[in-house]
Amino acid sequence: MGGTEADWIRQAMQGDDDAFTLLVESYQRPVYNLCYRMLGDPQEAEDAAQESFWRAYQALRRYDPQRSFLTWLLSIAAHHCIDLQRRRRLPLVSMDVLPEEVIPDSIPSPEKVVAVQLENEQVRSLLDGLPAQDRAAIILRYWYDVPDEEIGHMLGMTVSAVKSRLFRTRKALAKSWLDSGHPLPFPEKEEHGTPAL
Amino acid sequence: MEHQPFETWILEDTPLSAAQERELHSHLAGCAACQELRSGWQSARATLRSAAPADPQPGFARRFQSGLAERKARQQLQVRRTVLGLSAGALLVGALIVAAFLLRTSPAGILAGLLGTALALLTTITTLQGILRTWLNVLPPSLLLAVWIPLSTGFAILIAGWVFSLWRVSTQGATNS
Repeated sequence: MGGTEADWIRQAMQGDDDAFTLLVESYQRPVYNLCYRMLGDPQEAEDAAQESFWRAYQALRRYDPQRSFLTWLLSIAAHHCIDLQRRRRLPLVSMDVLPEEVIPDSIPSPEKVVAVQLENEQVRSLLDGLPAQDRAAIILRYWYDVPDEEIGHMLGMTVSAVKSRLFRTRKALAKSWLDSGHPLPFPEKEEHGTPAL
Repeated sequence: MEHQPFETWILEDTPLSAAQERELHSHLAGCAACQELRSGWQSARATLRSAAPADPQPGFARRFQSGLAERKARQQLQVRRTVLGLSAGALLVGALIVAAFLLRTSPAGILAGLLGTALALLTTITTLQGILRTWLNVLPPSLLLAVWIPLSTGFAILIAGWVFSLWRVSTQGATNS
């Protein structure tokens, strides 16, 4: 099936399920990553991402084509994950449980697998203690480079609320990093730009 | 020691001016707390920024597709069940009303009532026929045509729409399309 993203969206809005599946194919990675960072568990992230796409499918008629489709999808996924986190109100995940990381089309070396797992463990330990909305705001900001205004729109907050929430969360993250006994100063790694996209 | 505005400068993502940078550096030289905060935040940010995005298991879209088919089928089944349930409920209520009516009235009374109603109905119809006939004789034929065509067309459209909606809900259920 050919066409651009805009064509797929239009066709999906007219009821074409194959076109919507193409959109799922295109956006599965950012949506899954958001769910994974929010929930910290691969299976829960898979379920949440599938549910988010189903909700998007049902709400497709309400999608405003003037808005970015990805932002709209992430907004649905973020709300769903915040709801899930609020409902369970339990510690997010045991630090002993390491996710099954999938790196498609390649067989990773054991060193790489360990490095990825360590990296994920570090990220999870940083995010674990954050309240659901703070976590969503920080993920949207640092994985997806979503501006404050858009985060506010996505999470139903004012821009000043987003700014103060992000400020408070950054401070908490800095403290969490220091308390966890990680080495200082942390060498600046090469940034991916917008790593989740 | 006063940590503001340095704490804000450290934790905000907005770039600092050259003067602010100089001021911050001279503050950091004498403030261990702000130095720690800065290192902690820079390290945490670098960790977040450099973390590779997590990928779903292969076949995510395929799983969505099969899940979608299942959910739609479930939804349709639910709609059918609701329609059937409502119809059965309406029938039950109707049957109960009829049963209650039959229990409270004697068969002869019901028969007499039915005959009385039928008679009244026939009388009304005959009266209406008379009125209609009088109007038809009075009104010009072109005006009659102008009234009847839109009326009958409108009724036909309404009935067709109603039949189509009933058929769609009963065969397809509620879909997104």
